[in-house]
Amino acid sequence: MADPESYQASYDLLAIAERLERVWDGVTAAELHLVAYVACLLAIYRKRPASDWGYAFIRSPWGAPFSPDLEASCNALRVGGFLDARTDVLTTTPSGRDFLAFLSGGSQHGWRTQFLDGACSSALAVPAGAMRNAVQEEPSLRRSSVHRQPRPLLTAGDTVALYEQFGVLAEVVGTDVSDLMVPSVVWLTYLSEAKRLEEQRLALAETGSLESRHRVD
Amino acid sequence: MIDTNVMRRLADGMFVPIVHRELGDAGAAALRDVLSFLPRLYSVLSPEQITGTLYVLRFLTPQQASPVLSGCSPVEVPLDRLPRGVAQTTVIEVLDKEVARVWENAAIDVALASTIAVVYRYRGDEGFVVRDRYCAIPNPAVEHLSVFARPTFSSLLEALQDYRARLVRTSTCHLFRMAWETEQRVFFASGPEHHMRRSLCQFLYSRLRDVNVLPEQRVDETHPVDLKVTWSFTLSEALIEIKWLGKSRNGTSIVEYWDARAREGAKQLVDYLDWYRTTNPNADTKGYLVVVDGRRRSLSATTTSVSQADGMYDEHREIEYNPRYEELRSDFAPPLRLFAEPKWTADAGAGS
Amino acid sequence: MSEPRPAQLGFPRLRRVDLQSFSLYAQQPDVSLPIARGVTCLAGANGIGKSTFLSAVTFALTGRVPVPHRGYSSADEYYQESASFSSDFFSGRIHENDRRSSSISIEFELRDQIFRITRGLFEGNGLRSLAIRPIANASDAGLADDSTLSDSDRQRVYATQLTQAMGLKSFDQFVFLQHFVFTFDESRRLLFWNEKALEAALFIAFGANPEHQVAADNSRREMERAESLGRNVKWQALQVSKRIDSLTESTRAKANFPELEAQYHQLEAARDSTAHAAEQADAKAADEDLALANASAELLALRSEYSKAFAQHIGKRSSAAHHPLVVEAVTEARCSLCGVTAPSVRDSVARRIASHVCPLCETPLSTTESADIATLKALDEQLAAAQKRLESAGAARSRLAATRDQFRRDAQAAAAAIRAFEEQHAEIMRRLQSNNAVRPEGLQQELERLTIELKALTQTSKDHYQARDQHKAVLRRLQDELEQHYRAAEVDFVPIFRSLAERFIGIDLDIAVERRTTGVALVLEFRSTRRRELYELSESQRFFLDIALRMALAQFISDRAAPAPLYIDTPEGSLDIAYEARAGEMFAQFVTGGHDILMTANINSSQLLRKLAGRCGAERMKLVRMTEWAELSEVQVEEGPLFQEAYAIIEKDLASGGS
Repeated sequence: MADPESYQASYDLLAIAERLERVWDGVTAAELHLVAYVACLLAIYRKRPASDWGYAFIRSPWGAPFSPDLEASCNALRVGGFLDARTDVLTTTPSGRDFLAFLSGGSQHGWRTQFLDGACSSALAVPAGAMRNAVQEEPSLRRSSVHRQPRPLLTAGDTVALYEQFGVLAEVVGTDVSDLMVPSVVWLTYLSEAKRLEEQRLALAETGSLESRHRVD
Repeated sequence: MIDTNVMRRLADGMFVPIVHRELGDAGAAALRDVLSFLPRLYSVLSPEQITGTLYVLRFLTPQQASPVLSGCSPVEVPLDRLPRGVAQTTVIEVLDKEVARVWENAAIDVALASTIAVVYRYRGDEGFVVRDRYCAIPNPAVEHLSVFARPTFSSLLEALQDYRARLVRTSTCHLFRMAWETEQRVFFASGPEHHMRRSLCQFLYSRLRDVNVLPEQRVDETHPVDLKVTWSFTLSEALIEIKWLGKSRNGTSIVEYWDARAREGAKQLVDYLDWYRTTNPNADTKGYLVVVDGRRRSLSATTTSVSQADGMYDEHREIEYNPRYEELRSDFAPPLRLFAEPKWTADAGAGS
Repeated sequence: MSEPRPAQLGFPRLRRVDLQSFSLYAQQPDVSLPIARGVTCLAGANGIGKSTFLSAVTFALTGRVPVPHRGYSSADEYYQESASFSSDFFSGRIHENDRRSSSISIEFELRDQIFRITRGLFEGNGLRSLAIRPIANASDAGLADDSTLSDSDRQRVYATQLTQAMGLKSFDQFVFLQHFVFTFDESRRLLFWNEKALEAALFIAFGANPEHQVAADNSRREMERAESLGRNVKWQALQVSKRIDSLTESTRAKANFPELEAQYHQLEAARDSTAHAAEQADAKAADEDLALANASAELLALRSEYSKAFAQHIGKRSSAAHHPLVVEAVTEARCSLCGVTAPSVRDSVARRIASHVCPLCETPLSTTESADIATLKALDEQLAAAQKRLESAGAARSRLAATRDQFRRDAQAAAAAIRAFEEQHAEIMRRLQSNNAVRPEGLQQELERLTIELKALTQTSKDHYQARDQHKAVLRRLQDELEQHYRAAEVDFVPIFRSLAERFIGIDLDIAVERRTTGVALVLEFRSTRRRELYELSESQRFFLDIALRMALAQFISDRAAPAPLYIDTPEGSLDIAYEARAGEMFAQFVTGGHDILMTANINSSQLLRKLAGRCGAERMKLVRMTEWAELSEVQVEEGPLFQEAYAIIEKDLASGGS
């Protein structure tokens, strides 16, 4: 049964599935959690408190980001016939699409559209796998990766680090850009690139020390 | 610490911010439509079948396409009837409602088109043309595939076989290429494992759906395993150990590894698996030994190129493993040997 | 030759310690430890609970755990005030489930008797069991456990018997000695530099009679109280005197009265009006607060309803239409029940679904769907409206809060102005309040009354100070006596201390008595300079010299037949190796003198332990491996081999040591 508090999670699931399913031939659960997380991050970029998002994310020992509310909503929507989960991927059903259209016309969910659009579009714009790779470098996920136990993501301390990054991002991209796809793509690519540069630095250091061990054999 | 210069460089060079900057919100919306279209196109059209030039465009506002396009009459097709190959110049216009308009063998005024539409071009490499400026899409590792082709659910084993055949065999992956000392691909460079790791890592990310690929994961105190692959929200994990055979040269110092190294690698992997299991008893872990085979015959310290005979001598020479761990344990996959061909020259011989 | 020493005190010597349900020692919560003569050393890694063991033993003996950082004012006050700390102490160490069963039992000999007591760890004021029998004939019933006694009765009997056998005046004194003098624990309270405690110890050790220590405590307390009272009354007298002055002054200042009166009335008016405005603004803001809270609550309620309706819509859908078999039939025209694929399959199933009946058994299906959607839509609209209300309530409140703050500031300023005026013109105030024109006779009466009051107060104050001086004199006399006794005993005491302390510090030192305004104190003298300041000695030197002082007092004060043991939580670190070995020598000397030590040590304080083991040998020293009691951390487990090595070395020293 869905947690009665997570109607936002249900809405997000339907919205993301609907936007991406035709492009990707269905969406996996892991992809749904990932894209929802990016949408939440975009909301933070627009200075909304993480608590406004309506449901929380954690690092679980089996994957991150993960939201228990999304999971519960997914099950409820599946059982209720709004999502089809007969294969490895999820797709919306006609009832699901109708319900989504109905909700989108109401007053409670409209504000989320820009974040969901931004997240879904950036998922399309970066190479496959790159989004997951990049999001692992986001401060909250990165910080939590040393732990084995489940950890909440986007805590107060994490948002401080995020705001720092987002401040620079807004400066670079421009504060008048209304389409969130733009800062989202720049940021994700930046995270990947920063990681690549760091790996390169480490490899050079290692190769340097390897070279010094390379003697004639 | 955030490196503002890096971020700025990226923002200046990426097609998304460029499109938005040059073509505004309408451009972003049109871009979105193109981005939604491309994966569906590449699910039916294999990029290897594009020998000419492919354009995909979406006008910012509903347009007559005639000022921009000429040549032949367009055809409206549903998305499951898109062309399976492109030999000359083909232009596809993205329309609403699951249809597209196709001009085969067309002539297009790209400069003009790119001011009133979002224009994607594939010609060996891919990118967007924005106000007559070409903005390439960086492709991290995988050659001859578009970044818009979706990853699949194939098994890790299938993915590794694909990697072997398409990317390593003739070193088509530009990251893998960096493992070689020269273009001749006779000797490896020093420390080639870093490039091999990076190449395989990128490949797996783009090839498999819902994976997380982590390089150099601590397994025990002394040595990290090369790659750890986890599938989201499952207990499945794979530990991949990469070993290379052949010679690596850096100036005058040479390091060489032969079959024994592969056997060591197998033992090492088995030790990792055992150790890993003590700290992660719940994971469903499997070990994969990937042996990059760059063995050549008759190489001296000064060899710069090889003949076909010398270069391909070991092409089919399998490695003897003893014990054969795959027969003793279910968490050890049969080792994979990835033979990487050199470039050979007709008159090259040992010592030249 | 010295004067005959006062009757010496006897002290409990432990024979055995038993812990029950002591959760902190997870591997061995029921520990049974026999204590032999000489040194019993509990060794183990950090954090394993060594200090806790010592604290538990002290608790068993006295019913109190030593309170760190607690000052000392008098023995009975300390006893009262330390009661609650003990239960907090054990709460952190004993599992909730073990609270009631946890207890400590000890057996000790005292002069010619054996005491055996059991104390619940959370029952400091009672004993669960008590048995006292003569050593000579242990099978004698003696003062055996009487089950008709209550726990607190047993404690009383224990306290009386113990105090008597020891030769002390009261049980509080025993607690004081045990906590402040004969235990050196992890709080590192130093006796040398705790003047009041040291004086009390000196009273007990050197005074003619332990009663004098109690008398000194009382005198000091009375003295301080009288002083405080005297001060209070003096202050009151001062206030009265000020009033007199201002009255005298004001008879001369009649002239500006009308002006000042007018000024005052103006200030009053200002104060009243700003206060009123602030009050009104407060009320308005309060109203808006309420409106905001209301809007908030409404929104919360609506959201909750929306959630419920949402969940209902999702959950309560007829699952028949979405059953995989039905979906398959409708989309692929295939019936998985019988295997047929045909358009008729689709038609028949779709028809039934459309008529809201079950395709399998034709039971009517619920049609509540449209109702759910309508509810959701209505709630959505209500939510939108409520959100708007909340926003406007929020805006109004912010606006009003700003105005109210300003009014409040104005009101405060006006009140301050009036207060200033009142202070400055006290006499005018009086006249205004009395509401009469000034009457010379009235003023005169007032003055007279005040003068009488002043006189009375002054006298009272004097009386208090006199009482204080009397108590002070008594105290002084007691302190004089103490000083005398100390000087008489010095010839015996100082060598004892020196012998121990020099064995450690290796330089000439001396210890002398000093009279201060606060009382009697001891100071150390190094090569004829008085090192009285803390910073002139290193921290570790301070610790071990303090231990030397306690050892010296123990030796001096004890009856040979029942010598005082020392309980030492060994301070570690910052002593270099040479000093460590010397500290071991110092301990060994104490033990050779017939005293016991119950101590803790980190197994790596090797030099101290090695020296001590070498000197004492296995006959006089026992090493207790606490690593077997507690659950070890991963790091401690890894260091296991290192510990084993360290233990083995000490045990070797024990085997080959002794004389």
